[in-house]
Amino acid sequence: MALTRFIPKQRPRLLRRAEPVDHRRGLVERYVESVTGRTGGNSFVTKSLRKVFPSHFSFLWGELALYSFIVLLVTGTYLTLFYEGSQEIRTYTGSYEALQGQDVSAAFDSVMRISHDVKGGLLIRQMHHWSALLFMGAIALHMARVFFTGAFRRPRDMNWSIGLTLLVLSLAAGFTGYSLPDDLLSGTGLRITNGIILAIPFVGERLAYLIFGGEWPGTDIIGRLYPVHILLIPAAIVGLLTVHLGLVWHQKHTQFRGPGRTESNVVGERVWPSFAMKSIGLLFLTAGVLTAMGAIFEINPVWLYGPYDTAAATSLAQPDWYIGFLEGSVRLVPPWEIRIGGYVVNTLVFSGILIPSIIFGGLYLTPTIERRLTGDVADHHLLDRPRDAPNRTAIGAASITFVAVLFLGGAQDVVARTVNLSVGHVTSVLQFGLILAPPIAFVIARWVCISLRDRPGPERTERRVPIERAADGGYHIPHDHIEDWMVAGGAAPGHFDDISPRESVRSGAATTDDNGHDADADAATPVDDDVDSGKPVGR
Amino acid sequence: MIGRDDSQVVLLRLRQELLSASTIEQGALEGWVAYSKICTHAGCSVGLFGVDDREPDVVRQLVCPCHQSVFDPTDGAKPVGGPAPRSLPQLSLGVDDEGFLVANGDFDRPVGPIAWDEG
Repeated sequence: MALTRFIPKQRPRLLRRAEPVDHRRGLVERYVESVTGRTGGNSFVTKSLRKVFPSHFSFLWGELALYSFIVLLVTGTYLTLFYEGSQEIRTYTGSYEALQGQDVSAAFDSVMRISHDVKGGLLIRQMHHWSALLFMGAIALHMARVFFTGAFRRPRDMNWSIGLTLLVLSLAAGFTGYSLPDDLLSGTGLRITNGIILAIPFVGERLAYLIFGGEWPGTDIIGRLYPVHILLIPAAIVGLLTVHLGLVWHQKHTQFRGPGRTESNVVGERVWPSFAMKSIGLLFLTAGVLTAMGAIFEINPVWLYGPYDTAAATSLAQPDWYIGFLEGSVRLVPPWEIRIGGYVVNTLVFSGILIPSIIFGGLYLTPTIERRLTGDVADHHLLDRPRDAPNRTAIGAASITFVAVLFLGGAQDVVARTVNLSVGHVTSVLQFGLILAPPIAFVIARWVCISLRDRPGPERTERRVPIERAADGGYHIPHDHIEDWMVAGGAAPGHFDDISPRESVRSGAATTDDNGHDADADAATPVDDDVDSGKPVGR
Repeated sequence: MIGRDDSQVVLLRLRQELLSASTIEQGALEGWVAYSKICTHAGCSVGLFGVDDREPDVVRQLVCPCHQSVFDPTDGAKPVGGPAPRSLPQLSLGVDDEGFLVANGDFDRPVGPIAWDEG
């Protein structure tokens, strides 16, 4: 190749010997080359890019959360250009005729302006809202995956707590964001929050006055929630997210059991190019789908609700879905009120404080509880299938059932309308369900797990892959069999009886060979050994 | 909205014979009753009124759309369903010199959700 002529003979050690562009080499190999050729084979960047991530569809939820968060940051930034966090009253004069001449808060006015007069405003606002819903959904799925596979166990118990704190922060972000438009629904949500804060024993009233700047509703709360929503919470999320991902990087991702996979290695794809390409693809897919949703599906049409007015009310009022379980708790807990002397423990103490505390307390204590119940204090890097841990799975199923009944309770009027029963009847059924359904779910889930576990599993996909020995003594998988090889797990040692699996399968060895390029980059599944990285995981 | 946030009132005219004795005593006037519109559960606006005249039960209900608390306006707006623990405070009604409906005084109890030391 002509290009090689311009490369000086004496090159700094950092740079590897430039390879002539060889179009016979695979695409993947050339991608690897594109980075290692510029940073040196042993640099931090190269090592990072060569890091191995295991691959499974369920590992995608966390990434999905990350990418919807990025969409949230980008769309949110645009919204801050036009939003006004103030409850100052003014007359609406925008282009939405039905509200013209009405007194509204500056916050509501600016949201109306974003929705009807700012270029692209409605699209961005709806994208922002849809992203928030997707963000919470992805977090919930991610957390369920981590729970049911036992990925929260030591040494990742710390990261479980950090992830959970991220969930709490995200709920806070969702709640504050929901409140900012100062429309009828968001004002009602704030009113309920005010009621719950008032009910807190000992400090309730003072705390409510502190937060709201006096008696409900005051004129301060929107202006106070605004910096919390756009600065404090996002900054906290970004900070903790960095730690969260840094720990995943450092402790390495967990993997399911499989051929060649052990507690001390990671089998999967290298960050560059395959994992990165997939992940970047997911980013654009997420952003694309959210853009389409923002463009097509109307969400939170505040102009139909109107500005907040204490005297107004709307039927079928539901919060965003992720607050549904809290809403359900507040709707389903009976009107208990305990009076001691001149003090009162309000029903909201049970529904708005106690039940959420139990839910989140249980989540924070999950790794500890699991350690206590199983006595297992060892490090784990291989994941359980849910059926392999019937008790854990059953506890998870019972907990999800509990939260699901609460969630239905948060929309019991909609349920009642759908099934044509009275709201009172539906409420009673759900109240009983809240107590009875979780144990039933526990028993069923445990039974299913044990049945599945004890049943002989389906035959592992057994595809025989021929290998060829070349004249120089190396082994190859013929190109038309590479797919079979990947399907078979990529590293089934049984098929390589006469060669050392470490030599052929671990491209970790192959990638650092003398030539500096991946001889088997497109064929073999990369393996990352802790021995190689020099950092034992865990203790 | 007129007046302060806490002073919102729902005013109903019900059939006189439906009202309980205590409701009349508390200040109903020829079938007119006035209750605080702020739900005693969490403070939403009790904005829905339902009527069912089918026999045998004649039902008059005030409903809060937030958490589906149900109050009986014929009987001092006492809670008959949902999570609200206390009845809606009632206003005693009268007629002034010019024939307007007026309140004879303030609510006799705290309005809306109560703080922990208001027991």
